[in-house]
Amino acid sequence: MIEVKNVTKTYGKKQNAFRALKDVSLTIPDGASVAILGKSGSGKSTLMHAMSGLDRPEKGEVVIDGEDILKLKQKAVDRFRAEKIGFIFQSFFVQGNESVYDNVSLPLEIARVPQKKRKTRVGQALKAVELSDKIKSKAKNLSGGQKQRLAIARAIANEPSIIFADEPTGNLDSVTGAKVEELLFGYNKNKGVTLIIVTHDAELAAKCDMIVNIKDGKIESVEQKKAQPTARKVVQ
Amino acid sequence: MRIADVIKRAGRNLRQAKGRTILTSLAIGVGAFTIALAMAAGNGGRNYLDGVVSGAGDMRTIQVSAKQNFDTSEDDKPKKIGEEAPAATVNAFRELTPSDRETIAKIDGVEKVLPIFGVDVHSVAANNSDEYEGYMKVQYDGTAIDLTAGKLGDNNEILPGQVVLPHKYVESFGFKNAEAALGKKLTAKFNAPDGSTFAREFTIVAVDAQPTSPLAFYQDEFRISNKDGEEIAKLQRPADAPESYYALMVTTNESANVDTVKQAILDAGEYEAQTFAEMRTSIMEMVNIVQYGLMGFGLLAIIASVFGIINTQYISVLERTQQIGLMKALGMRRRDVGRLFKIEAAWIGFLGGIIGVGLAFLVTLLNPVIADVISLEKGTELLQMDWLMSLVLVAALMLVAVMSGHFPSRKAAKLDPIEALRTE
Repeated sequence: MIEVKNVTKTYGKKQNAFRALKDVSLTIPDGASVAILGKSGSGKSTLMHAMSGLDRPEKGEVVIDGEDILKLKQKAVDRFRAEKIGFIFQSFFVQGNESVYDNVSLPLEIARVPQKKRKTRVGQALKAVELSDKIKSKAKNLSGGQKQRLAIARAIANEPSIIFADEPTGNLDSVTGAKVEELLFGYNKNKGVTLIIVTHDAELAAKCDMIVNIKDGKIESVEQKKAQPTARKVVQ
Repeated sequence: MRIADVIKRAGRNLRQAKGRTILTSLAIGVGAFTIALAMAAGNGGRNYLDGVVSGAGDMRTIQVSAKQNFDTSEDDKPKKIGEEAPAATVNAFRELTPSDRETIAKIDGVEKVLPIFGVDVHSVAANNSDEYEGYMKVQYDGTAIDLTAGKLGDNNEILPGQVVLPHKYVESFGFKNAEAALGKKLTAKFNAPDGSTFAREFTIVAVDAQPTSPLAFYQDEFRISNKDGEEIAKLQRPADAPESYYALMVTTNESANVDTVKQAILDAGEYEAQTFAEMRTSIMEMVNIVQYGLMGFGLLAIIASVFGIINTQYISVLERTQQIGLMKALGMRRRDVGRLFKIEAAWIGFLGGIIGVGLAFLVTLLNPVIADVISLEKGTELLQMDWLMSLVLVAALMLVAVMSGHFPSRKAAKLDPIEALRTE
């Protein structure tokens, strides 16, 4: 479970200060698929960064599995990200010069997974995104859709409990986008992994269990799409 | 991240920027090459000199001869017209006497004094050849002689009755080759004090070789044992004349300081003395100067290359901002990110070191050419790789590279992943 409590994040100082998040509170149950929906500049990315331990808001708590990650030391936050979180980005961020295998292996190396185990996990992850036959190809030779599938493989390789996807289909055409969505939601349902999608695409958001509308650093509304047995009432 | 994985990733990153990596390494390689070559030259030079000097004599040996008094005080002055030019003084070579020998033997630190007799040969002949002029030298110690044929006993000893033939005489005496001369008889005639000559027969036990090096003094001399020399010298002396010596070879005690003993000898009378240690030291100094000079240039090249590494790594950090951001987002620790860039720098240093040492090694393969050009003995290796020091050099370069990589790697480690991932 992810609990965001009264989080405030300010960028810049004094006259230039810009409050990207204003006293935001939110609870996300385990295994849910959540869309954080908002326009650019609304603070949705900042919220994602705060929840994933990439950024440190100056006020509030982010409690994940009973632990406030904002109170952790940098080293512990890094380990938390390496072990529990998977990231998917709009522009993929796959390493073009490296092989597909090495791309997927990176988070496992960072998490200090032993070599043998790495091999099986990379194999499994690539199988899940149907890229097994490209294992030795250079990532730059893949198509856009394949690159994003590679990024998904990278995100799931270390079997995270939470996946953050920042505009995962933003750079893809509708057909390949649909394939990526299918993969993400399938993984969410089959493995019970919490999926948090940051997007401005209402259509994509509509496919999630829960939609968090964010505007000007504040949560406007939270829509619960389906009855989720584990989902709790969202505190605003 | 495990260190082994960091090293592998660092290696891969460098391979992806081959051109840049090689160029940066080459800059270090130039310095490494110069230093490795300097070490090879120093190493080879020292070994070579040790060979020459040990051939020339023991480090505890002092050669003492009589100081020759040639009066030169007036010779240089302009002469007036009509002034009688002073008769050219034919100074007889002053030899040392038994009393000199006693004086020197009494000096502190002198272990042994060996007289060297001068013999005056009238003619030499072998193999029924004509009689030739020649010089004869008494072999007084274990000085190594380079030989083309034959063999000497232990400690290069020439036994009484034996002679080492100078190679130039092989043809004159009508031998097919040096090997053919071995075991043959050589007849030498010597001047007796009464004007007649007396003959002696020697067995040719070996033939000497071409001059070994420009540093080693060489003359076409028939070399005989000291014992034969003593006997012949005795026969050549007028009956009433005392013994006289061409030179005295003084060996010092192991505990004595050769230079102190030498000074004591000089103070004891009209002598000239030279130690082999002196000869060795002065030449060794030259070798050292060359070596340190070269090393200095190498060091400068390395200092210059340090800036190259810093620059390259900075560019690398800029180029890979996104990659760094991703790695940090995925939970890679600051320390590991810094390490990645430091290890890349270490790889560059390693590569540069290997390139430099490898090139230096290639140059040492030119030893035969070098020996030929400066007319050293065949097989002389003036450049000898110092592999252990080369290893130390490569390690030191890796260290230098890591230190140069410090600032860029710190920049990488400090990158904010959010900012880094925003740059597209």
